[in-house]
Order: sequence, then structure tokens, then C-alpha cells
Amino acid sequence: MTLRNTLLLCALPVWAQVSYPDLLKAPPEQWLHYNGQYHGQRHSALNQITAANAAKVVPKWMFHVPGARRLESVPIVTGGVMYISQPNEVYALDARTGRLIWQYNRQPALLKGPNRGVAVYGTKVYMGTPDAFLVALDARTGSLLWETKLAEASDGYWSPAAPLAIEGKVIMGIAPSDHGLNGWLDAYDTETGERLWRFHTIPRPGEPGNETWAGDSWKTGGGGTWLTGTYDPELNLLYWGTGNPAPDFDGDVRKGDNLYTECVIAVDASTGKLKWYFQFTPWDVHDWDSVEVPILVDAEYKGRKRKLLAHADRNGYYYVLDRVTGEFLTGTPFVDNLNWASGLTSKGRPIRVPGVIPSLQGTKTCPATSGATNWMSPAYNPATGWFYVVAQEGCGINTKSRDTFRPGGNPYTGTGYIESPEEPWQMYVRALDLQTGKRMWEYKQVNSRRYGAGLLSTAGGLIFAGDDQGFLTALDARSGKPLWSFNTGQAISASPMTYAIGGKQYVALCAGSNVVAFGLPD
Amino acid sequence: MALCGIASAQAPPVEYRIYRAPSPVVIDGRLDDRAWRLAPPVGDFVFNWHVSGEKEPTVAKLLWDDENLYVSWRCTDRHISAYELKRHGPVSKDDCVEIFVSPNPNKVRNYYTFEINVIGTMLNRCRTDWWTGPPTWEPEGVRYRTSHHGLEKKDESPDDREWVVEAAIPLRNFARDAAHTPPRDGDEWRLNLQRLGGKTNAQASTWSPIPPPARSFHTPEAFGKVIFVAQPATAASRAAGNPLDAAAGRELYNRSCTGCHGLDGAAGDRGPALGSQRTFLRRTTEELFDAIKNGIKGTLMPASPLPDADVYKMVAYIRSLRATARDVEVPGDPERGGEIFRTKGQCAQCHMIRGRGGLLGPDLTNIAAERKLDDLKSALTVPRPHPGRGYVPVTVVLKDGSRIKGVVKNEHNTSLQVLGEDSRLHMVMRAEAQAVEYGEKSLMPADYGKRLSAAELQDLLAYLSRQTRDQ
Repeated sequence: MTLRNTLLLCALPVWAQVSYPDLLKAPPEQWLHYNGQYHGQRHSALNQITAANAAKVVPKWMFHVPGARRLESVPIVTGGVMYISQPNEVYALDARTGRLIWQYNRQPALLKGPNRGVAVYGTKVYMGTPDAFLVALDARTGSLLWETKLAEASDGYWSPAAPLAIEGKVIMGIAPSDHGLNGWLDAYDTETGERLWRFHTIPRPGEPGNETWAGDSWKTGGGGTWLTGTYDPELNLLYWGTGNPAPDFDGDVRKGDNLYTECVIAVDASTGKLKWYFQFTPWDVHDWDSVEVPILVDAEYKGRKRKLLAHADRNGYYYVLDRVTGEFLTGTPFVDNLNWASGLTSKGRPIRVPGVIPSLQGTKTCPATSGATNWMSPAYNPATGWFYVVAQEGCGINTKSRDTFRPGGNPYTGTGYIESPEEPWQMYVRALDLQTGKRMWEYKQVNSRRYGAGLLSTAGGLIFAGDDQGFLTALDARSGKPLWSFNTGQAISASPMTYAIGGKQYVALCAGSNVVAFGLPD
Repeated sequence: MALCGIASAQAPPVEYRIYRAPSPVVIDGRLDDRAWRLAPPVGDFVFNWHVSGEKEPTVAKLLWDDENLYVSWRCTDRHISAYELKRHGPVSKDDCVEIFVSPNPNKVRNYYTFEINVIGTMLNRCRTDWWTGPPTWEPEGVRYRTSHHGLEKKDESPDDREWVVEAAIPLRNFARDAAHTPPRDGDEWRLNLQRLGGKTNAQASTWSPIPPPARSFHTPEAFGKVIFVAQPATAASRAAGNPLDAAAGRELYNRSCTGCHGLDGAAGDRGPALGSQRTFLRRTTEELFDAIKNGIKGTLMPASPLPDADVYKMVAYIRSLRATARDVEVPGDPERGGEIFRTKGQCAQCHMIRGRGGLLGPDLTNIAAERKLDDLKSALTVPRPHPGRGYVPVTVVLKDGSRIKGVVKNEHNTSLQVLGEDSRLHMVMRAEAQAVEYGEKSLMPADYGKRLSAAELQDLLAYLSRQTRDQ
């Protein structure tokens, strides 16, 4: 550090609400990222609520978000303050009482949802907007500090994902994939909002990978980045899942592997350059976005300590990769209904079952397009060594027809899917062995058909899971046995999180139009 | 010579400020550009020679930039027809709009005409003392478009509702008479905007009234005054309508309405105070016009004998009394006001504008759209009886004796949420506090009448009255 920098730092003792070391450490009392920590394990060291006392958990407070329907925001908690969002809006709440401190309303608001949450850095709160801006607010007052246009909203772009804050940068994805709009991953300066780099998920002519698109099909290729990824600070690599190719169901017009759709991309956080990629479903025709959160785990793998990446994909397979190199280590189905591939090659490429592609009459496709899993965050508990995932069993009937790309945010799907009458949909929470993907237990979410909430793992030996019937349930992490549940009264579409204030552990989540916080009785 | 004498002796009946176009104007006959949205209308057209029939309104606007004078007309019309397709043909028989421009106010008889019918046929004349050509004239580079533009005649149809003409007239066409090309800030021209024609109800109406006995649009002495303003049109300029109307309306109001409604509408004895903090029954231009023009039955409010144009000016004035600060023409130097906001006034220590400034007071980024000018002035000069909600000063003494000083953002019986002077948020359970002491006075100083000179205060108000989110 130069002398001048030292002096500057001494002269300006600016109070930083959330420093980069805080974000790195992610103390368990706080919840600083969409998925809790950079590695995305969603496992908290808090252990006041345990398998032994979970049955006593009670609601502590509720906050109703005016005008909300299905919130998908994951609360961020720091300094006793909880930040939650819905499209165009951020609310700062007293995390102990649920009392409102301030709210931000974007005007004029374009209505498009959902919004999955905010990021915090320094004294700023960051959010993406339905009109494809990144906004920075003052964390103490909600004042708008700056806004940066990510893309043209009139083209159809918007920004539902929670940003990820790393040192000096806000990482932002973009949606959608289904309108023939090409995606990217961006980094913005935390102070000024200036864009620092952009990685295009669809390679342009002259870039490697462009040859995986027939003709001009790359121009309307999709590949959105609509969920928040993870980060390895040591390797300085961002891991981000990419969305489906467009048109979703008609692959005839885009022959080829369609890179980098349905990949996990490892991107250098300093430069935005691609380090490696792994494609889960080359030439997908079932709208199986691979945006599902890639969890980073350091563990023994076949006798060797390795930096792993674990990912349960919408296509029904659970994958383990080496996250330094991108090498495929293992892959195994985590759903029973899977008819589109007979297995994976030694490189992890699916062996396609001929004919399981959308047709004019409709083709039975398992898993369904709603996905073996979806945006609902998985979790990993280092104590059990198990990967927990929300899974959907069942099939869809997938159809196709020839679609025309129309600019301006029109769907470009090449038709769609319905629920298979013979294999109706059913949601489960499943525990998988991290190394092998072997199913250790499952919990059936009775009457829950699709989507629902993500998972939270705690050192109290619990897995918290929400469902679309409105129940938040605490499961024993080892047995999957339900220990407690509470009917929030509205379908849950967001993942739970946990924090502690004054020595008391809270578990909170967005349920329908409310935020609800739980804890043990006083 | 004699005519010029008359022209300069008579004040122009109407005035309008032409703002600069804040963004490009696309000539497509649609008027949906941001620039047109922000431009204020010139004001109501008058029907100088009206005998009978419906008076269908016209909304005309003007803008300028270094290249062009822009003009637009939006004409409400149940019967739209036009047949003339020949250049310089008699377009005024059709539904037609016109602009007559005198670029030199001292030589109003030097004027240029642009007459355009609804299907896009134009007629031009150059009526100047230097023009020796034919009766018609070919201006350079005029671009225009109408909502029925084309090569086809337009017959009336039951669906007829309105039509639009939009034109960009290069300023170089006026270089021979104008003082400057392009004009400079404050340059004054004279012009009139007209509308007439069509098979049914061919009413003639003009922006600037043409007094009798004149029976022709070609009466340049009666042209209205336009002033070129270097400032781009903003949301504020649009909302203000024609600020000169409101100023004229104020004089009319203070001449005839104060007996009941008080000077400047501030305190009514027999009628409501028209501009004070109260709930108003009549708000829109139409409602206010009706109340003044026809009186209010069953009350002391009489019908006004003033001409419609004057009634509209009073309406503009009354609306300006009720408008938020951005809708009012506030004198003063906004740039110097901004400087005072940040330095001598110390406002930025507590208030944020566009991401800069302090935290304890309200964010003022959009204040001109939220508060009336009078409220801004009294916030600066009159102590409030109580601090505002969300800004009540508080000192919390915790059990360990430590203190939190700040303002209460929210509170209830069991907890307080405090924004501290240390720029942190403090979540306090009352059970954890020894004492909670509220300040009775707002942290907002109200002595700016003394701290600042009158000119400085005016500059500060000029600055604040321009603070809107969509600035």
C-alpha cells in the first residue's frame, strides 16, 4: 500500500456496514448473501434450534409486503437490519421485530417479476429491476445513490436475480432465456456502478463456441443468467449456471451443442474471462435451464482432497465436478422418472435416448420441463456430508412447432409442455451423498406438485424446507424425519435463511406476500 | 411606418416561451417524443369571428434547437376532410393549420407563412419588404408530417376524432430578418398559429386573438410574442403551462377576486382561500373555468364578465397556487442556490439529492414534485410546531449508560428504530433502554430568513424548485 493510500484511509474513517472481509467470512449471526456464503452451501453454524427443541419453534413476527403475491426474495440480515425485496421495491426491517425502517419504490415502475433479493456491500444495498437496471441504495435511508442500465428493457430484458457482491464488484446476471435474447454475466463497480466487464454466454462470431450454433441461430440463442451463482475467493472464480437455448423446444433451427447454454461457467472475477465450462445438456430441447445453484465444497474425493462443485440439474442428474479444472467426476440421476438419457459418458455428456424430443403430437419427457429441480436453492451439510435438494418426480408431454423470433421481449419458445396424465408431479426433499449422489432419505411434500421453496441446513442438525402448500417444515438432517411445521397460509416460493441477534436464533423466509421470522419461545 | 407604430404601441395579447428541445424530435406526425411531452402548450385558441357551431380545441406547441423551429398542432375534430394535393394549392379550404412567423419584432410586417392541410399539402408565402418573387415561396428543408399524410384525399368519417401536424422549419429560412440565427436566449419574435377549414364546421381559430375590425389571419400586428429560452423543456415547464398566463392571471385575480378570496388567494373571508392548505372541490381547468365563468349557484360566487381568455389566465394562476414547486416559475439562480445548499446553507449535511448528501433529513431528490413552493419557503423560514414523522429527534439511554442520539424512523410500544447521528441504524427494544428522550423541536433550522440574504434564499428556492426525479 502506498503512503498516499494509507493517509487516505486514516483520514476518512468511513463506517462500512459490510466490509469485504465480512462478506468473505459471512459470520453465522448475519446472512450476507443470497445463498448465505460465497460457497452457496446454505449451511449455518447457528445451533440454538436443534432436532431436540425444534418442536417448540414459534413465529416471532410477520411483515406484510404491500401488493406482493409470491415473494421469491431471500432476506439479507446485517447489523440487526433485514433487507427484503419485491420487483421495484426494497424494505429495510428491524430483524428482531419486523418493524419497517424504510422502503424504496422505483418510479415509474415496470411490472415484471419476480425479484429474488438484494446484495449488500459497504453502506449500499444493490438490486436489479424489472426495467433492467442495477440500483444502489443507501443502506440506512433507502436513498437512491445511482442506477446503471444493464440492458434495454424495451428489448425484453429484465433483472430478477439477487446480485452477488465480491471485493469492489457487484456481479449481475440477466433474464430471460425464453425470448431469444442472449445473456451475459456482468461486473459493476460497487462505488460508481460503472461496468467493469461482461462475459457473453453466447459466443459471437470469431469467439470459440460460436461454431456450436447452426447458421445465425446464435443471434437468438438465449442463455440467460437469471439466478445467483457462487464464488471461490481463493481461485477468484465465479461459478454461474446458464439458461436454456432458444427457441426452447424446437432444436431443429439451432443444430449443434449451443454453447454456453445449460452450462456452469467458471469466470475469472477480475477479468470476466472464461476459465472453463461444463455443459450439462448439449442441444437441449426441454427448457432445462442449468441456473440451479452450484454448491462449492472442499472434501476428500476418492482419497484425495479436492475442490468440488456439486450441482443438481433441472435435467434430473446430480453432478460432481472438479471446480479448479472443470473435470467431470461423477453424475447420477436424483429422480426416478428420467427417460431422455440412458446415462452419462466418462466425460459427463448425456447418452441421449433417441426420440425423446418434443414433437407435433407431444412426447413424454421425464423429468418434466418444470424441472427435476429449479431455482429452489439446494444445501450441503458438512457434518453429514450430504447434499440436500428439492426434487420433482413426474413427466411432461412436450410439443414443438416452428416459432418466429420477434424482438421486443416476445416469447420465442417453439411451443411447450403440459403435465403427463400418467406420471403426475410430486415434490420431495432428498438427501444425496455428496460423493456418489446416492439417495440417503427422502421426505414427500404431500400435495405439492411443483416448484416451492429452497432449503436451509443448520448446525442444529436440521433442514428447513418450505412448500407450495404454505408449510415451513424442519426435517432431521440425518433421517429426514419431520420435527416441526408451521402453516404460513400462502404458497412458499423462496428459500429460508437464518440469523441471530442478542444470542437468539431466528429462521426467516418470504411466504407468499409476507416475511415471517421464527424462533424459540422467549 | 404608421402600421409599425401601431404594432409597437400595442402590447402583444399573448406570450409564450419556446424552450429548447430536450431530446431529438422525430417528425412522424405522432407527437409521442419525449420533447413534445415536455413542451408546454401555447394556450387555448380563440374563435375571433365565431357565429355558431362547436368550438373544437387545438393544442399547439413550439420547440427549437440550433437548426430548427419545431411546431405541432393537435386538433380535436369530428369532421376531418381535405382534398388539395397540389403544392401551394388553396389548402385553407381543407382542414388546415398555419404558422405565420415574424422573426423581427420591430418589423412584424415581414412575415413568412406555412400552411399545411391534414393530408400533407403545404402552401408558403414570404410577405416581406425584400421579397420580389412570386406570391408563393419555397422555404428550404422544411420537414413535416401529418396524421393523414399521403397522396389520398380525406373524406369525413364517423370515426373522426382528431388530427395532428408536426413540422421542423430550418431557422436559416428566417436569417434575413432574425437578429440571430440560431436565436439567442431571450430573443423575441412574433408569430401566430391558426387553424381552419374543412367541409363541416370550418371554424377559424387563432392562438393570438385578432381584434376587430380585422377579418384576416394576415394581421401581423396582432401576432403573439414568443421568447426563445436556452433552457430545455422539462417536466416543470410542461406542468407550468404558460407561466406568463399565470402571471397575467394573478393581476386579474388581485384586481377582482380579493374581496372574497383574499390577496393572492391566501386568506378568504367570504370565499375559500384558493391556495391554502385545504381540500378543494374544484381542481381541473374545466371545473375552475366553469366556476369563474358561470359562478356557483346558491353561493355568493358571481359569474365573471371577463373574456374567456382572461378567465383562463385566472385559472392558470389559481392552479399555480396549488401546484407543487416544480410547476411554478421560481425566480433566482438555481446554480447559486445549489452552491448555497452544499456550503453556506449546510443543507447537504442532512439532506441527500441524487445520491449526495447527509442521511438524517428527508431525501430531497424529488422535493419539487412533492411540495408546494410556499411549503419549501416556510420549511426554511418558519419553525415547525413539531418534528415530522420519521424525523423526531431522540436520545436513547441504554442500560449500560451509553447513549444513542438520532432520529426515530419507526417506533411502537416495544421497540424503536433509530437512525443515529453516527450514520448507523440502531434497533432498540424499549426493555433494553433506561430512558428514551424525545426532542420537541425539529433538527431542521428554520432561520434561513436570517442566515441567508433575500437573494440567497431566493436562489436556494430556485434550486429546490427544480429538484425532481425525472429532471
